[in-house]
Amino acid sequence: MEKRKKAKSIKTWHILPHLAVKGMANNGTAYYPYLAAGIFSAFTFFVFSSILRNDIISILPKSAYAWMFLSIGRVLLGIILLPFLFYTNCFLMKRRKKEIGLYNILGLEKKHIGIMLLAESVLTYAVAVGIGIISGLVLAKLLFLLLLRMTGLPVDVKFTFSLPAFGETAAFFFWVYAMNFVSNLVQVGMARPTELLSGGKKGEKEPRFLWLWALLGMAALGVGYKLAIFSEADSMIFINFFFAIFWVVAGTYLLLTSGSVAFLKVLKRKKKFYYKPTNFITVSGMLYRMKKNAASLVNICIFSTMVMITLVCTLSLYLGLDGMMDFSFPFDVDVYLQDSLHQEGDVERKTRELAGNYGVEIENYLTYERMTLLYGKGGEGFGLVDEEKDEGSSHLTGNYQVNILLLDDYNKMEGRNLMLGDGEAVIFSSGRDYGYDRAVFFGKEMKVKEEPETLRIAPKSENNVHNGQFYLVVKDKAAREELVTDWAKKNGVEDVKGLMEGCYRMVRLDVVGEEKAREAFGQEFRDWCANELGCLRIDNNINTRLEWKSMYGGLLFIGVLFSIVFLMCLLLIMYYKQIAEGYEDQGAFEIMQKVGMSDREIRGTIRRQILLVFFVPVLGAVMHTCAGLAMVGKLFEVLGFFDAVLLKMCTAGIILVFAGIYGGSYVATAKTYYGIVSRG
Amino acid sequence: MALLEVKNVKKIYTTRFGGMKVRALNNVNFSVEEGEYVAIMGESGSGKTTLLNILASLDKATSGQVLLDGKDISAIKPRELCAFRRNHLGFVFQDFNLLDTLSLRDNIFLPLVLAGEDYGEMEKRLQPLALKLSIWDLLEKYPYEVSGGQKQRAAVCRALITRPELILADEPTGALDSKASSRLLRLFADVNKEGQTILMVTHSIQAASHAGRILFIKDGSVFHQIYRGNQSDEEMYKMISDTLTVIQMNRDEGKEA
Repeated sequence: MEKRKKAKSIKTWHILPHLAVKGMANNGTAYYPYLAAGIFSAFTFFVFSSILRNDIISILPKSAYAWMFLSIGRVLLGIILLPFLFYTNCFLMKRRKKEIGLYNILGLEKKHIGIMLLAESVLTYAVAVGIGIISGLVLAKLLFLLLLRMTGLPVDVKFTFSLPAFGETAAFFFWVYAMNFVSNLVQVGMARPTELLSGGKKGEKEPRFLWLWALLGMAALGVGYKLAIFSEADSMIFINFFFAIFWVVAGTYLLLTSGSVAFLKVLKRKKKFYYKPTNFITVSGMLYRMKKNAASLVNICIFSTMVMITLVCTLSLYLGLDGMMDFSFPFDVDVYLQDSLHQEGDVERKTRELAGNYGVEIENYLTYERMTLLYGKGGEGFGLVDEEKDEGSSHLTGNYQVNILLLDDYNKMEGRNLMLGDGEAVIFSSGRDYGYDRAVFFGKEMKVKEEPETLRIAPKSENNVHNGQFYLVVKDKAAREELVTDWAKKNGVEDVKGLMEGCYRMVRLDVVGEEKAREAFGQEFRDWCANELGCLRIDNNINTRLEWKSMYGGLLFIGVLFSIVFLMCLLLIMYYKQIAEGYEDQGAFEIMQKVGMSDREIRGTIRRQILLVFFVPVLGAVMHTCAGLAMVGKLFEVLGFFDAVLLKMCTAGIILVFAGIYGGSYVATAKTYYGIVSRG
Repeated sequence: MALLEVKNVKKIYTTRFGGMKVRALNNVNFSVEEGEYVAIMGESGSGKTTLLNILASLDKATSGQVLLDGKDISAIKPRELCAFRRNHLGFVFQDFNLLDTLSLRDNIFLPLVLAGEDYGEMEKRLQPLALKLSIWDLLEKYPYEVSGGQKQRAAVCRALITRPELILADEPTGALDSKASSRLLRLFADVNKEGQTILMVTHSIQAASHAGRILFIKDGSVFHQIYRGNQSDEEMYKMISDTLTVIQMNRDEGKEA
């Protein structure tokens, strides 16, 4: 009697949550990664939110860039995580349809199933957000310190968690899981039990015009690569960049969907090749897999490329930052003075005074006059752009900055004792070598006495194609005036005197000492200069460098975090693909064994197929990355990054690390796969 | 000498939990001569499938011997087992066991390819078989594109193409409708007339009635057997069904006793 009473009291409602938990545990191979992805997503989101919501980050000096990147990053994160978690959920539901169909046939009504799914969603949500936030609490501070370190911001700040961060994380994931729940409900609600029971297993139709698509894919990839490798870093580069990405994505898609199938069909048509024990199973299996998996392979390929390019860009920019800054800011402070007022003495006196106050040393104090004119250039000729009839010499193009220096200043800064005759000059290029022994300015010839390798005021790089300038050292002021007068005449400028006002006296110097003292010196010197009559401009590069560091450090931080998120998406897609393949191969595995293939042979061929199928996208990604490298290099040159070796080293390192992680997780997922296959 | 000899074969399973011993086969003895068409009948759980798996070298007997052409198949090394199956046995299964990844032609070629046969030879063997089995026009199709009867005929073709000494068929009509079933059974009879030895496991009286000899298995051992002699399929059908009734009645009496 006692027993019967008990049995009666177990109502459907009580059993549902139990079924939910059991269902999740039974589908562990598919379910736990989904849960893990949820936890990691919540963790990342919470960390971003916590750092953003921290009162300190907005007050910290020079943190504007880091803050901006994080804000953009969090929005992007949401955009990526939403469809990703949706995709994994769809995969799960596909797997579980059979189980749910069985429940339905055994007498659970749709509403009961709905409640079961609700229990599941609530549990998943609670676990994902709960563990995500807890691990976020532990690690957010560490990551925040890492961010500060990377951006060069002061590390001695207190990190506090704010309530909005918890709220935002909980709210965001509430909507994500609510969406998944609703989609599951709709799927279950629409399906009939018999449909739920039979997992649709039909072969796919072959795409038509296979060769046409394959050729188009090749062409698209070719166009993309050509754009990436050969386009010049001019005003079109960003448009080219986007077109290159577009063509490469389109090409990858077509090649992987049609090209691979077409290629395998050619192999299949070669009977002598195809009907050999190893080739037979591999080619037919690959053909089948490629047809089914092409779309996800394209995704894996594009994701991998994104991860690698992101890492290459952010890492090499960060590592090359010192080089870039030394090139762009050879001196700590640059002051532009209006020469006619002759306050150079005042400036020098002030620097010495401030240096004394702050306990820093002034080094490399340089001063010189500089007159800058813009010319079109073709070969050895300088003049107006589009002057096609000009003296029969080559066509003049572009906007070349020519800085005219005086011999006296040059000798002083370089510590030399050079003499120049009339019509003689020294020419220096901060970009590609000038390379001629004469220079023609509006038809007037100057003899190039020398082209030095270095100039103290301008670092030189052969690759500095875009920001390269010429420095022309002339004998005296008269020679300079002649050049300026000619320039004014040809450019239709009447006020030559006014033009000559544009001749600056530059003061450039380095500050050596403690970091804080240097910053303070820079700040006060800048404030003083700003109020000084005749001081046109002051560049406080001490400050600018810190801003750059904060910017690129922030970029790297975001880049690395995002790469990890991308990588997670990618690996999970791969994992699910392998599980799906495992269930499909279960039957084939058995049949082949019955027909007379040994266990070892089967394992061997299937492993080879999967290896091929999953390493095709990585191979593609490596190729894309290498092609993209050319374009990245050119974009970097505009930013003043010329260290091609560093860029290549970073790329090689990242490819290696990526391949390692990918390979490692491949091995791990392959184990699950074997588990599924041999269970049959 | 008989082509297949089964001597004192026993199979005892140990259940995973509790270590209970279950006797699936209890001293099975019979032999099959070359060119014979033998059907093994029995109810579910009588040990039919266990016996077939042992004959197919997919499973090992606990004790006793299975001799094919005088060779003890339990003595074959595991590494050579696959090649042995491929070269000496042909299989037809209830659920066809065709690979969805391969066209019918390639499914049929599979055992030959695995044996490293020359492509020209494969084509030469395929043509007469495919014509006889009426699947010549379907060779480029995939299993999911054809009917059950067509699938089973392709599977028969796959079993025959290696020219095996013995065809083992496990409920070959189990998944077919009656029309496709009788067509397949006629085919088996034709193939047998040409000299092919066939051993079929079934619980369908119709399927068994085409065979030359029928063995009845009950509780893990051969209980009874009947020969066709000169009787027609219809007469065989009647005889089988009578025998089954007797077996059933014996069992019921045994229960009551």
